[in-house]
Amino acid sequence: MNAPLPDAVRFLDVRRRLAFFLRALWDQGRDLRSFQATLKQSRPYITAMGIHLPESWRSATGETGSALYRAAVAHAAAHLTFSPPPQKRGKLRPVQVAIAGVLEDARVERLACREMPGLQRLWVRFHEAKPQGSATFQDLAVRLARALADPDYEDDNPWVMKARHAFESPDVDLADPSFVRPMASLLGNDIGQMRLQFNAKTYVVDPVYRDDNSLLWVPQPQEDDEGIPLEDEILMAQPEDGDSDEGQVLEAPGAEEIVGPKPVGAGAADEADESGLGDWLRSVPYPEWDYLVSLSRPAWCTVQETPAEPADPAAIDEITHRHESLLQRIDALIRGSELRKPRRLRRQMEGDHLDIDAVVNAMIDVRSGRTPDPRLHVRIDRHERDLSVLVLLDLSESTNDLVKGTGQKVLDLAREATVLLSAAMDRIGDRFAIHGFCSNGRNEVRYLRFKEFSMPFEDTAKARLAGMTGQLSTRMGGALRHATRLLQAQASDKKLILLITDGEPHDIDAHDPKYLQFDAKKAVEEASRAGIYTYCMSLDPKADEYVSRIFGQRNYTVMDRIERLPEKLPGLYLRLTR
Amino acid sequence: MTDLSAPTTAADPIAQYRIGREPYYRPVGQEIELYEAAYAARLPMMLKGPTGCGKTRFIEYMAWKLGKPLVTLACNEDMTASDLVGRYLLDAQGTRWQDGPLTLAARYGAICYLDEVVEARQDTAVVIHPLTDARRCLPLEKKNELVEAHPDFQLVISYNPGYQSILKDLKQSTKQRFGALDFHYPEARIEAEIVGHESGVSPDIAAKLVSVGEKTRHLKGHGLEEGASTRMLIHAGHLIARGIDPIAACRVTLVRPITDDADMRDALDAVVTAFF
Ligand SMILES: Nc1ncnc2c1ncn2[C@@H]1O[C@H](COP(=O)(O)OP(=O)(O)O)[C@@H](O)[C@H]1O
Ligand SMILES: [Mg+2]
Repeated sequence: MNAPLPDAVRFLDVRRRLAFFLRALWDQGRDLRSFQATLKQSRPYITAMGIHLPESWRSATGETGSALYRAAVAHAAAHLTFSPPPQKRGKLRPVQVAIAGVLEDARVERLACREMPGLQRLWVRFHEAKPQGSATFQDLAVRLARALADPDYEDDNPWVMKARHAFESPDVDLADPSFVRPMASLLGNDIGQMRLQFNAKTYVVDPVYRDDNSLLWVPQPQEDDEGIPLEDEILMAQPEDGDSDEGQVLEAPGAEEIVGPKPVGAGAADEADESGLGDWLRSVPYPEWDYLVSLSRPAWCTVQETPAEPADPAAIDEITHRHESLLQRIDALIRGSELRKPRRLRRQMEGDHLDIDAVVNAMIDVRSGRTPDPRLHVRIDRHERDLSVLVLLDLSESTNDLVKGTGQKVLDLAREATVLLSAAMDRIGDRFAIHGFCSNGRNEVRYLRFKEFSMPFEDTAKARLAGMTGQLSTRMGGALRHATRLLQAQASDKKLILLITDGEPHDIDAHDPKYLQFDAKKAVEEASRAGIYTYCMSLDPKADEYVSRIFGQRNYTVMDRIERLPEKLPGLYLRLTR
Repeated sequence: MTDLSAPTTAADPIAQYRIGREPYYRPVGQEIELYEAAYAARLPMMLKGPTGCGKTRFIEYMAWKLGKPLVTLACNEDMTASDLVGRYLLDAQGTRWQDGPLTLAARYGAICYLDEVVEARQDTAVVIHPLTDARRCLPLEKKNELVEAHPDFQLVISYNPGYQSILKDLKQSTKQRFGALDFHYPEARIEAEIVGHESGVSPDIAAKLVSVGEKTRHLKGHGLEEGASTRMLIHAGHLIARGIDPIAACRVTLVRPITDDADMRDALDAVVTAFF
């Protein structure tokens, strides 16, 4: 809506650290999203899609806004950890629903503090209620919230005292949420008897870090006027969503794998040296793994080699020019890690030949009866690297999406990153190829080769990269199997497939998303058995679960900000192969 | 590196490698029993696990328990095969052969522990092969000698599978020669006991340190290559035991050492304050 207040903190600036915070304390990968605060929706809210926080925030207490965000995330996480699945409101009146929210907020915070006592300090500083002033319901609710959060707070309002007393009673087992409803119901009746008005339209949860508590209740399609307004688009958090199956191992049980007959054309592909166009436009059938029956379906999917259309290679040079300084930094990194040049190490205990100066000195020592320095050799330290890398780019339709705030498509960023990575690999002297794929059902996995292993990274390769476009779907398994076969033909000691993708495997003829995931996982295992490492760079912030399933715990990175891919990818590569 | 000038007496050439006092080791599972059986069979062993989780301490303890000397060598990429096997040295009279730590252990019957063996160059790592199969011998090519391993000799290596470089992984042919014991950070209760014992902090502080450690480990693969190790928690405990404020102690020993990323630092600092 409007420009952020001067001393406000913007969500975008703290998102990353909040995500780390959430992951560390609760092992939660819930997405963090921002929304534009309005009068109607001014508090955070929690949905199946993630935790929604205001775009920018400032706290009135003078506390830093980033602590406010942190308090909000911690509160939301406490709900996600301790709150029961959404309840039906049943006969609860709106005022009772509001009180139940106050009690539940206090309950989940207490439980979180049992494990992490320091959180109390984080939350309590946002409680500003005072034990005086008009005793409207809104006021009393805020005072109660503080009374339950801050043991040092004193309030002599009889209703607040009564509620506090009930909540703190030794009979209450905080771990069991069932006390909340009857307690809220009684306290709500008292409010009725005190003839206090409750206006559901204007009531807001306080303090500001607390969410609107919509996740506690099953949404009511037809809210009557008295009810708490619900945004239509707010999805309710499902009781068993997201993380629930995180721990499951996607190991297909039982049956032995049935290996199909050797795919037609396999022989030809084995000789897949990368020579001329004659070999192109081939189609190679591959098996696919069906996890439901634990069987490999022979020749189920067909990879079609598709020629890459060239465009103006100047576009690629433009990328290198634009990233001049980044390339210099990469250069420095490479030099610093001594990946490139063999070093002559003098005065070594062992070595390839004698260090003449040292030998002369040693002879002098021996002649004059002294103990000579035994380090007589020169060693050439080569840091032997014998590595072939196949960069495999996902070219599906979704790569045409614009990346927020950049005006660039996902594909453009992937291309840019690939160019910079290529520059790095070139400088190190690693052998590499750049290929890409997209799919249109199981009979048409298109496979494009932009740069071959044997090709220099020059005009032909650049023109093809410049002409790269995105379309269709992502059938990963077939593409990975084809890449594996091509890489097998390379003689290097170590081999790596580096997959860059923006989403999970999907295709028009596969309706169960798990099917293609399991198949891709299988393809990764097959590659590993062939001595090929597979590493995935995922551009899908929600990818954690399926990516780790497919590629294994350590063999992937999820980019939280796609726009930083070009600057990150070369560094990742250096680390991976150092 | 072993000290080349260390005195070795003729009577017990590896006296310096004997472990006199019982090292403190808190068992976490069946590892002692399993290792004893492996030693009885002289099976070469690989201790797998992240750094700082107790592998070195375990092998020290086992060497003590079995009454065998322990020769430890931390591997690095500048190490050559001669650093393991030995070399001729020049002295005023001419040349003199000096056994390397591996040869010493094989000759006189010690347990030889090669720490972080992936760090060594691959051509270096293969010299251990003849000691790990039925031959149980070590050819000293330069000296033209074949050392038959002493019956007490056993080879143990450590290996951190979390290591994120594909170029530095152990060769499959090397891995297959070893039995393997998996080490992890111990479960909270036990880890707290260890942290308390080693650093001298109260059980309450130790438990909190362990909680902080566990939380940082959630970030492995999500911005951190590795969470805080038991060793780091002990370091924090040492500072706290000397009167340093726990938050500052954690900052110095846990947060700063594991990350240079400002966002990560902020998040980890917040994690620490959630407990202290
Ligand atoms: N099970 C254990 N019993 C006793 N001390 C332990 C144990 N696990 C870890 N430690 C402590 O942690 C420190 C680091 O362990 P260390 O054996 O050096 O790790 P690693 O060899 O796995 O890198 C040790 O010095 C010791 O104080
Ligand atoms: Mg709430």
